[in-house]
Amino acid sequence: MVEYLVAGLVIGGIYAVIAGGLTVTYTASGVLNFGYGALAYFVARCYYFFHTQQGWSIWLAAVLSIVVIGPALGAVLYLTLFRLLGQASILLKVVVTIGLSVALGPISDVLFGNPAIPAAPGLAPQPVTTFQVFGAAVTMDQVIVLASVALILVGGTLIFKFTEGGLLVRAMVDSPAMTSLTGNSPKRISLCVWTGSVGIAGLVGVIVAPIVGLTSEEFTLLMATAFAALVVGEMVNLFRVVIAALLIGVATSLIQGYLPPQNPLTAEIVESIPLAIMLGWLLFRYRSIAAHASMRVGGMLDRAIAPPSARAAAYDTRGPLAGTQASADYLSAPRRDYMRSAGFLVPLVIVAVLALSLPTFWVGLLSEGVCFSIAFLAFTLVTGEGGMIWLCMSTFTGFGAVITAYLATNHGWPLLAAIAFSAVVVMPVGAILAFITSRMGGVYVTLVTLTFGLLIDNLFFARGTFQNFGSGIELATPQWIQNYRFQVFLFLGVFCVIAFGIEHLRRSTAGMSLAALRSSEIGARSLGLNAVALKAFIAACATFVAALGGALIAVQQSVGNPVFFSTLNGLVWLAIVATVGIRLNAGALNAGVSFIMIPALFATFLPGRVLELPAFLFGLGAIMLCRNPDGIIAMQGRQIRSLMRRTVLPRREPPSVPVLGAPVEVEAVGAGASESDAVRSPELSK
Amino acid sequence: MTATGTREGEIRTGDTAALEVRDVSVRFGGVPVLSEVNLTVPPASRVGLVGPNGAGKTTMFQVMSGFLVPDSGSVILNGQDVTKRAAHVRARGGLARTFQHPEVFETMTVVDQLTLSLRLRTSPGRVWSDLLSPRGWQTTARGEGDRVGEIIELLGLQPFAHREVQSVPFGIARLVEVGAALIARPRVVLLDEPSAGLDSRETRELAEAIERVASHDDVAVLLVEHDLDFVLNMAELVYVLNFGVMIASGTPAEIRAHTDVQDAYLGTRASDSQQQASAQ
Repeated sequence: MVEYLVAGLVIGGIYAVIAGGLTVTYTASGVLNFGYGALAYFVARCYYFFHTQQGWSIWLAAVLSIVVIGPALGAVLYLTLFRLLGQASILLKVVVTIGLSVALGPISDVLFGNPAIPAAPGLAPQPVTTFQVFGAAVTMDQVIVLASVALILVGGTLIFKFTEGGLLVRAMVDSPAMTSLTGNSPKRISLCVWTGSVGIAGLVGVIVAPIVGLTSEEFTLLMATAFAALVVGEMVNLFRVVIAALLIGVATSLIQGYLPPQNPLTAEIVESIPLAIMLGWLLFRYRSIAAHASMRVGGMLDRAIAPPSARAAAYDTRGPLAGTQASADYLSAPRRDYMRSAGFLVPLVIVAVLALSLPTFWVGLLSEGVCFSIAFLAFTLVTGEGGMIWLCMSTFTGFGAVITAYLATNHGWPLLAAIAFSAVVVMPVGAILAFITSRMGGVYVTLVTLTFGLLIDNLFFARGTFQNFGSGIELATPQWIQNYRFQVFLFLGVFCVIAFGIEHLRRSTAGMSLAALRSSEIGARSLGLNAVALKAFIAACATFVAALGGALIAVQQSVGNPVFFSTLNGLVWLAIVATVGIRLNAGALNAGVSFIMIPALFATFLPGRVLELPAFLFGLGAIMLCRNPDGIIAMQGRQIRSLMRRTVLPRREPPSVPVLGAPVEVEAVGAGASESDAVRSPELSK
Repeated sequence: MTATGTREGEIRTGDTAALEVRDVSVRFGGVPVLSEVNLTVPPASRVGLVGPNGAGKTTMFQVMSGFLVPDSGSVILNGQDVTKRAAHVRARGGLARTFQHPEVFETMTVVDQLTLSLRLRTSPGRVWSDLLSPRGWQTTARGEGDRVGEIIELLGLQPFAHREVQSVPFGIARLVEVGAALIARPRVVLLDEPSAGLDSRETRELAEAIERVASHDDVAVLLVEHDLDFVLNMAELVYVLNFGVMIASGTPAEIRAHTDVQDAYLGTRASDSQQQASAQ
C-alpha cells in the first residue's frame, strides 16, 4: 500500500510539474498552451544535444538549455506570435498553439538530427542514485521532479500573491487597457510572462525526459494527461492544480495495484484513469463551469476600445441599400456572392482536371485526399458553423473507418450498409457530447473533446480486434469501386452533396441562428433560440460527415486502421483546415488534398532530409493564422476584392449618418462605404 | 406607496400583470444578493428599477429573463409561473430583454439580426423546417419584411440596414439590440441600462425611440438605469432596490420625496446635512 502511495506521488509529481507550468502560463497570459509539450520537448532535445551528443557537462548544458534557450524561445515566440493573440478568439489561440506543437518537432529534427534516443539523461549525475522509500524505489531524477513541483508551487504562489510583478501580471490578464493606464506596459509584462513560462516548460522537459522518454508524441500525450489536474484545479488556482495532480497520480497508482498485471487491458485502463477523473470532475462541476463560461474575456475598457473587425467590409456581400421607400425593399438586396462561388468551383475543377490528366499513382493519392476532404467538412460544420472547438473529430472519422471495415469483413455486411450504419451510429454520440459541452466555455469544450478522443484511443482503438498489430482490419472492396479515377469523381460527388447541404444550412434560419450563437450565445438565447438543441443537431450532423469520410477512407485504402485516426493526428487536421479556411467548404477540399498530396510530392521530388518539412509547413500555416484569422482562402478573397474595388468597381459615396433613432432620408449605403466612415461620424462618435 | 414593493401594478390596472416577481431571493456563495423581492410590471406600462451599484438590479434581470434560477420565490409571466423555464422558453412566451453591453450578432447585418429576432419568436419551428425546404435560398417573406422595415423606420436605422453590426457605431448597435427585442411585439421588454455609453443627446433620442416603438405596440417596459432623470421622466412606476432589498416603490414624484431613497440612493439628505454642518 505505502509503496503504491510513494509511486503515485512520483507519477503525480510529473503531472504536477507539467500542470503547474501550464497553470502559470494560463494564469499569466490567458492562453491554454497546447504547444506546451512541444516547447518542453524542444528544450529537452537541446539539452540532450549538448549533454549527450556534444559531451558537455550537465550544468553547462542545463544552463544553456533551461536558462538561455528556453526563455529566449519564449521571447521570440511572444514577439512574433503570442502578442498577436491578445484578445483573439479561443479557436485562434487553440489552433495557433497546436500549430506550434506540430511545427516544433520537425524543427528540432532538422536542427539536432533524428537519432533513436533509448534513454535521455536528466539533471541527476550518472549513474542515477536510487533511494528506497517505504519499499518503493525512487530515483534522483524523480526526487528532482518532486523538488521542482515544490519550487513551482511555492515560487509561483509567492510571486503571484505577494509581489508587485505578480499583481501587474494579474492586472494585465484582467485588462491590458487598464494596466496600461497605470503607467505599465502590458507588452513588456507579457514578454516577461512568456519568457518565464517557456523557461519553466524547458525545465519541465529536461527533468521529465529521463522518466517518460524523449519523444515529442510522449510529451504531447503527457501534457494532455496533465490537463486533468488543470481541470480539477479549475485552471487558475496553482495550489489546487498541484494537489489535484498529486492525488490523480496516487489514485492511478492505487488502482493499478488492484488490476491484474498480465491483462493487456490494464495498461490502457491505467492510462485512462486521469482522463476519466477529468471527465467526471467536469460533469460534477458542470453548473459552476457553465456559469464561468458566460463571463467575458478582458475588461470593459478593452472591449470598448477594441477596433471593429476588418472583416466587416470584406464580408459585406449584400451590395447597395435600396433606400427608405417600401419596407420590403430592405429584404430584396441580392444574396449572390460570385467570389465565394468561384472560390469553391475553381479547386473543384482543378481536382477534376488533375484526376483526368495525372498518372494512376497520383490519381490514387488524389482520391485519398478527396476522402479526407469529406472528413474535414466535419470541422466546417462543427467549428466553422457551430462554433464548437472539437479536438476529437478524428475519433469519429476513425469510428467510421473501423466500424465499416469490422462489419463488412468480420460480419459479412454489404459495403454500403456498413458505411451507412457506421455514419449513422455515431450521431447520438456526437449529440450527447454536444449536449454535455454546450454550456461550457470554449477552453473546456476543447479539453472535454480532447479527453474523449484520448479515452477512445486507449480503450477502443487500442483493442487487438481493431488494431490487429498495427495493420488494422482489411476491407475487401467490390471491383467497380477500385478504379482510382472513378473514385475521385465519386468522392467529389459525395463532397459536393455535403457541401451543398452545408450551404443550404447557412442560408436557412438554422444557419442564421448559428451565426447568432457564434456572436453572442446569451443574446441568441434571450431571443428564443434553443441553443442546446441546435448545437446537438449540428454536432450529430458533423459526426455523421466525419464517420462517412472515415468509411470512405477505409474503402479507398482497403483497410480500416485506427492508427491513422489518433486524436493527436486529429489536432494536425484541425490546424490544416483552420489554416486554409474553416468556414469555407473549399477550405476542407484544399486542406484534404494538400494533407495527402504535399507530403507525397516532397517524398517523391525532394531529398530525404526535408521529409519533415510538410509537417513543419502545416504547423507554420496554423501559426500564421494569428495574422489572418479567417485562413488563406478568405485572405486571398479579400485581396482580390480589394484589387477589384480599386480598379474595376465604381467608388460610392459614404453614407450620411443620421441623428440617433430618428427616421431619415437616405441616398445609398453599400460596398463602397467603409466601416470607418460610420465609426468616425462627427455626430455620433464625438 | 409601500416600503416593500407590493404588487401595486396589479391593483391599479386590474389586469393580469405582464410580469410579476414574487418573494424572490438569490444568494451567491452564502451572500444574499436579493432578499424576498417583489415587483410587478402592469401591461403596457413603463416601470423603472433603480438602485446604487451592487443593489442587485442586474441579478433581478437575470432571474426574470431565465438566466439565473432563484433560490426561492417565483417569476410569473402573463399569469404563468415560468420560474423553472429556460430563457428561450420565456422569450417565446413574450419576454424580451437587452443587456448592459449590447449582445448583438456582430457578423450579421442589421436586417438579418432583426429578421432572425422576429422569426425566432413568431415562428421558432422554422429553425428546423427551413432545413427541409428551399426557403433559405429565397428573399424573406413579405409579411416578415414589412415588420422588419417598420422597426427599421421607427428606430431610424435605414442607413445601416445592410451593414454588419460590428461596423456600426455603438449607439446604433444599442438601437439594433432594442429593435431586436421589440420586433416581435413582446408583452414585456426588460431594458438593462440602455443609456450606458451614450451621451445626453443620444440618451434622449434613445428614450424617444423606445417610447415610439413601445407605444406603437403596447409593450410594457421595465427599465434598469443609473441615469435617474432618464427613469423618472420615462417611468410611471418606479421601484428602488438597495443591497438586495426593495426599499420603496411608487410614482416618480413619490420616489423623489421618499426619505429612505434619498438616504440610500440619492444621498440628498446626507449631503444637505453635510452642507449644513460645513456652513456652521
